[in-house]
Amino acid sequence: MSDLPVGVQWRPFGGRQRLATRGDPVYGEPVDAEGWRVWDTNRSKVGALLEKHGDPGFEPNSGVLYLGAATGTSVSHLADMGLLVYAVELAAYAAGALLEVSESRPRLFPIIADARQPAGYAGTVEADLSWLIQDVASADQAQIATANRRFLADDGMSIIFIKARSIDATASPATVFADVEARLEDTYEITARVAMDRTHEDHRAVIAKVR
Amino acid sequence: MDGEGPVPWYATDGYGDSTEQRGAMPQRWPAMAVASGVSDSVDEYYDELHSHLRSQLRTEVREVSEAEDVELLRTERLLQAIEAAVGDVSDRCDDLAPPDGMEAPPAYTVGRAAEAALHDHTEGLRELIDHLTRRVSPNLRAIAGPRLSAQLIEEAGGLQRLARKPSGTVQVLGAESALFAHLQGRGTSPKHGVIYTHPAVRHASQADRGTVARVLAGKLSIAARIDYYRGSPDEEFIADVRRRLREVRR
Repeated sequence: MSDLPVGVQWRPFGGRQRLATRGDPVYGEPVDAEGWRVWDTNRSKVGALLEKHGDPGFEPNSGVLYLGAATGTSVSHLADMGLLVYAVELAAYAAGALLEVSESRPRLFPIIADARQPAGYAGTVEADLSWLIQDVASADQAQIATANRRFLADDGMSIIFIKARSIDATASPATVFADVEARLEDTYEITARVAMDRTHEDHRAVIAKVR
Repeated sequence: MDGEGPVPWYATDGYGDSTEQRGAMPQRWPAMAVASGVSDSVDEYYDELHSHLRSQLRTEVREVSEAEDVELLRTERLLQAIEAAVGDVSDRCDDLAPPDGMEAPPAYTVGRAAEAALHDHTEGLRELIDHLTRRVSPNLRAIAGPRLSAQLIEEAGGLQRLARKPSGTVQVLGAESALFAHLQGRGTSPKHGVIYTHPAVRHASQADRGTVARVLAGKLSIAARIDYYRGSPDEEFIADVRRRLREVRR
């Protein structure tokens, strides 16, 4: 098992070691006597990435823009780790869940907005953040990552979860990945690629730094 | 090229004001808010942002459930209309049913096929109601089930109206004719309306039924209020109600 960021630990739950952070439970996950709650890596791609790849370099108090926060599983754990998280989600029906998750997390900032229109939240999300984490099921994933570069500091990093089938269900995933990565190249320099599914085919995480 | 730049959230009602045309480059808002005296410290700035964004979200929650509760109410009405039609078609078919050993008239066969097709569609609508209640009224759904939740919202004329009704009214929703008869001096006051279909009421003994209905109606009105004002499931409340209903059934 590789290194973990501050605020995340392997803890025993039901006889096996699982990733955990410390905070109020939000989706019915188990909590141990010391207040650590399981980070369900089936529900959270960031959790799965930590499991597969180790710490991408998260540091406490650094700022994150998270696009595609959905009902808030991943962002709740990131906030538990002491990161400052702007959580953007398009689906208005996620608002109720994000409201719950942010209640006990004073540095988790939920925003219902369209990640394809960063102008819509440029008056809310601050500049010079350390991380852009993107998990959107959209055909223009490279374009979204490029347009949201504006929130990152010059030494900022991004993690982009690419789901091949959301982009083109007919092309081979390898072709789709190559195409998305080529379109990221102007703005980002890719430093790592992590296969996110067992077959390594459909789902990839790309870690990149700002050029 | 940078025009006027974005207006920060703290100078507007929402998420700030910016467009790609006039310039939408984010700024270091926390430092700017402190420098311009809007916040006393960066920590205070973040606390204010947090509370501002959460109140924005509360508005979103209300808007979503307001639009969807109308869809739910109309879906329930459509389901009731189709169920009534199924019953009607079935009765007319029974009229045409042939005596034993005789061949059925053609209209009978057509009628039964229509009945089966309509019945299939009620299944689809029940699934829709199941789905809609998860979003519109998760607390009510956890206590009353999807169908009864939809019926209550339909009887009340929407989630907001249901949330504002006293629990005594919720108890007799759907029993208006019996209630008005009672108020005009005919008959006893009704013990329950549509909540009769709830297992806790239906399975209560005749003597306990009024008590169970009253307790249940109280919990349902609280559930409707949580659904309307907060919008997300309150697991503690739901577990408490289930416990209370088990006690009262004994």
